[in-house]
Amino acid sequence: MKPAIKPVPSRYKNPLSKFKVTRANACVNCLTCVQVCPHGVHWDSGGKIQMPRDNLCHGFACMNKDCYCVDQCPSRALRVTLNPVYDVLGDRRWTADLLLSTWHMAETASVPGNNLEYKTGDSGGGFDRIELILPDKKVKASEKEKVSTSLLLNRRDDGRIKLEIGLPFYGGGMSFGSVNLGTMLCRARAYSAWESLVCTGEGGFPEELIPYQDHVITQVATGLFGVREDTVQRVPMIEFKYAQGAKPGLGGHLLGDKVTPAVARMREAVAGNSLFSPFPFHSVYSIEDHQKHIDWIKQINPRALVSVKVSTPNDVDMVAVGSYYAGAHVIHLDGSYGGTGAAPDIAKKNIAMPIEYAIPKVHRFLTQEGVRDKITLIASGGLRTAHDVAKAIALGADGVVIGTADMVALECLRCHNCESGRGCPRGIATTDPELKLMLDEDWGTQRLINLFSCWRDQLVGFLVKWGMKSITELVGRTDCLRHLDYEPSSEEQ
Amino acid sequence: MPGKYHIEAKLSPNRHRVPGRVSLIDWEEGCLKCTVCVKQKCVYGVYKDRQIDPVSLADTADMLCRHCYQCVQGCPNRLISKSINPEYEMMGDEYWTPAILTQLYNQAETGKIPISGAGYTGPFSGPGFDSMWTDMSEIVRPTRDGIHGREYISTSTDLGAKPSYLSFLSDGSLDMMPASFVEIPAPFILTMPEDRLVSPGLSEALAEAAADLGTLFLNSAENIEEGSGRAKRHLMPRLNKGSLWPDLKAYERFKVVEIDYWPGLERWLNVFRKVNRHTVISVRLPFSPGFTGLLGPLVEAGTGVLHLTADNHGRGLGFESNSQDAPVLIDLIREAHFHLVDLNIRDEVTILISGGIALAEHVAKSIACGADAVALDLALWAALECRVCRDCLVQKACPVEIESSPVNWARQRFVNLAGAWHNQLLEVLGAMGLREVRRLRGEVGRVMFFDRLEEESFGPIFGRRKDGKK
Repeated sequence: MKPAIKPVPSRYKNPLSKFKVTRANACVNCLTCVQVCPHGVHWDSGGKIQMPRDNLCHGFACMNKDCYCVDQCPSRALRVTLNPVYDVLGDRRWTADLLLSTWHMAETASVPGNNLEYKTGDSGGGFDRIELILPDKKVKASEKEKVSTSLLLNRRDDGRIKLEIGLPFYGGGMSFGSVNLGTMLCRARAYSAWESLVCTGEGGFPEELIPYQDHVITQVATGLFGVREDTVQRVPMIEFKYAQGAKPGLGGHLLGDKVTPAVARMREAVAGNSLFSPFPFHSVYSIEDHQKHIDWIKQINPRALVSVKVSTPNDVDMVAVGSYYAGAHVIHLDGSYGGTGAAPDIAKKNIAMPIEYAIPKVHRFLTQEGVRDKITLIASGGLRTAHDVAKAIALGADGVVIGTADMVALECLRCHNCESGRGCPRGIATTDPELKLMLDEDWGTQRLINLFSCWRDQLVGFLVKWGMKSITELVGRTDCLRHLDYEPSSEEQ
Repeated sequence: MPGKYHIEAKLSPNRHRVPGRVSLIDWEEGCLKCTVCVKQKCVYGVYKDRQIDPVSLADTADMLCRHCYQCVQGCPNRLISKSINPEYEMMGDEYWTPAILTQLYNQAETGKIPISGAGYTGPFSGPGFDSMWTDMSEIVRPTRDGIHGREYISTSTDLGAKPSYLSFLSDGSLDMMPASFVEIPAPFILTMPEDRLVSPGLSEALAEAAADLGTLFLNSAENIEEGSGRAKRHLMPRLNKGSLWPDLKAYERFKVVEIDYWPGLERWLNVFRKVNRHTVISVRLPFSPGFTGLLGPLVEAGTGVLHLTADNHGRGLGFESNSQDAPVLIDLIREAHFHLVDLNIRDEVTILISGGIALAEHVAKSIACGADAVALDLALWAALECRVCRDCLVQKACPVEIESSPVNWARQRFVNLAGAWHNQLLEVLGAMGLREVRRLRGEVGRVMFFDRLEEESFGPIFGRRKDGKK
C-alpha cells in the first residue's frame, strides 16, 4: 500500500532557487507569461499576476525557445538571471544542486527537470566518483509494478519476528532533545506510511510516538537515556549504538541550552545541564560482554530484533563478524562523513573511514566467513540520494539508513547551527518553544512521504533497467557500478 | 596520579573584523513596509543595531549572520539576498584556506574546539594530510573517557636522545654520557614563521606563552635575551655556523639548543658535547632530496633532536619538480621515521617537524606518521589574525598590524590556540583508545591511508586507478 502523494510547497514565501525571475513595473498583467511557461513559474490568482515561482524555472535552457517568457513578454518586463544565493548554498558534499533537488522531490515527489544535478555531490571521491551503469532502456509502468523494494531484516531462524520493511532504507536515530518532537513525529509518520522504521536516537521514547511503535526502533546507547523496560518491549527492533559516524569514539554531548525541562524529564536528568553520553559502553570490553548485552535485550523483549550500530574503524570487518556471532540480526555501519548532530569538526573529517570503503570490506568478509546470508548489512553516513542508496547496495549492503536527507526534506539548508544556542533557526533541530512552532507536522510528514516515494521510484526504475525483480538482487552487484577514477574494464572499452 | 595538564583559555577577542563567507544584499527600495518585517523576526538579532563598522566600513550584519535565510525567504517583495563575499575568498591561499584561517581565528579568540552540526562538508580526500584518516576502537580496549573522564590521556613527549641500553664500568659506575632529554607536556613547541613579519613584542609574547604552556620557544639566538626570567627557562635558541658564541659552556643554561645543519657539523657536535653534557642538541635540516642519508651520522654524533622542516604548504624543499609536486609531509615523515627504524636507532633521537602544520589534525597525523613533536609556526601567526597575504614579504604594511599586537593579547591568543589543539588531540587519541601520545608515534596501523583503502576496498571491484596509484 503506497501512501498518497500530495504537492507540498515550501513553507516560505520565496523558495530558494538557481534562477531568479524578476518582473519589472512595466508589466501590464497580460498573463502571456502564464500561458507560455510550461513549468508553472508564472501564475495568476483571479487574473492578477503573482510573484514568480523561481524554484520551478528552467532558466537559460528555455532561451531561443517559444516558451522563453523573457522574449515572449510584450512589454519586456521579465528578466531571468542566476540567483546569487545559488553560489552561496551548499558545500562539496551537499551541493546547492542537491539541496534544491531534494527540496524539489519533497515538494513534488518527482525528480527536478531543470538540469539540477540531483544524483550526486561534488566531493571528488567515493560515491561522487562512482556511477551506476544503467542500460539505455525505456521503463514501462507495468514493469515497475512488479518490482519489490522490500527488505527482510531478520535472516536468522530464531523464532523472532520476520520483520520486513517496505523500503530499502529506514530513519536513523535522532534523539528527542537534539531534534524537536515535531520532527520525530514527521519522521515516524512518514516511515510508518511506507512500512519502514525510524530510530528514536538516545533521548527516550516520547509518548507521542506510541501510535507508531510498530515502526519505531528504540536505541540503547552508552548513556542509557530513556531506556526502560517498556520502551524496549514495545518495539520490533532495538538498536545498540556503539559509535556513530560523525564522532566515532567520542560519545554524545547534548549542550545544556537544549536540555529543556521536557527533555530533562524524558532523560531523567536536570534541566539546563549538559548531558554526556560517554564512550564506550563501560560494561562492554569484549565480544562476550557484547553478547551478554544482546542477550539481555532479547530476554526483555522476546520477539524483537537486535541491530548493532558501529562506526567504521580499520577492523570494522571483525566487529561485524563478532556482532553476528553475538546474536545480532542487523549490523549497521555508520561511515564517517554523515551525521546530523553537532560534532567536533576534527572528528567529522578525520576519524574512521568513509562508508564507501567499509561496505565492500565487510560484505566480503562476512561472505568469506559464510554468514553473509544470516545477517542484514545496513550502511549509513553520507547517503544523500537514491543513487547513493543504489550504489551502497551494489557495493554490498542490504539497505541503508537516512538522516540528513530527511532533514533537508524538512527544509534544513545545512547552516550547521544545530548545536548552538536555541538551536535550529528552522525549527527542526531545536527544543526552543518558540522556534519549534516553525515546523508543521502534517507539512513535514507529507514532504518526507514525497521524498521517499521519489527515491523508491528511482530505485525501481534502476531495477527494471537491470532486469531485476527485487532490490535484494542488487546486493553486491558491483558489475552495475563504474568508478570514474579507475581504468575502464574490458567490457566497457 | 599526576595532575592533569590543563591549558587555561580566556576570551581574547579578534582585533579585526573577520570577513564572512557570505555577504548580505539588501535592496531597500521597493520595501512594502509590512507591519512586522522579516528583519525584526531574525532569530539571531542580526538587524538589531545594524550599522556600518567605522573601521572596516563593513556591514555588521555580515559578521552576525548565521545564514538561516529566513529573511531571504520571507521578504514578500524579495528584497534580501546573499552573495559570496570576495574579501573572504581572497584570504590566504590554496593551503591556508579561508575556512582554515577563520577557524584558527575563532580558536585563538575562544580557546574552544570547532564544533558544528549536520555532518562533514568538505572534499572526500585531498593531497597530503587529507589523504589519511585516523582509526577508532569500537569496544574492546580498556576504559577511557577522553576529555570528560576520570582517566587522563597523557600528551607528554620527550625531546632528546635516549640510549637503547646502559653500559657500566667494572666498579659499577656508568660507562657513558648520561641521557639528556626534556619533557614537554604537549607534543608541540612554538616558533616564528621564517618569512613573516616579526617584532620584539611578538618574541616576548611567544616566550611568555611557551612558559604558560610549559613548552619551549624556538627563537634565533640574536633575540634570545628578551623575555622575563620565568620565560627564559623555556627558550630554545637557534644557532648557525656564523653566530656561535665563543664559549660553548655558556649554552649550558638552555635545556635545548638548535643548530642549522652544515656539512661536517658532526665534528662540532662532538666538541660541544664534551664541553656541555646536559644541553640537548637539535639539528635543523630541511626535508630535501637525500636528507635521510644525513640522519644516521647525526644521531651517531649525539644529536638529540632532528628538526626537519618543510615549506608552509607541508612540502619538501629543494626538490626539482617544485612546490606542487614535491613530496608531502606524511610521506617525508614516514621516510625519516622508518629510515631510523631500519638503522635500529629510532629511539635514540627525537623527530621534530615544522612547516605546513595548519590544523590540529596535522599534529596527530604527523605523529602517527613518525614524528615525536611539531613546531608550530605560521599557525601561531594565524592566531594573531594573519591573513597569509604575503604583503609583509614585499615590505608592505600588514593588514592586521601584526607587529603591534599587544604582548598579553598575543600571548593569550597563542595559549588559546594551543589549548584548542590540545583538546582536539585528546579527542583523536581517545577515539583510538590511546592513553599516551608517545604511543601514537609511528603507529601507522592506527591511521588509514587513501591509497591503501582504495586498493583494499575498491581494487578488487574496479581494478586499477587511472592516476597509477594501486
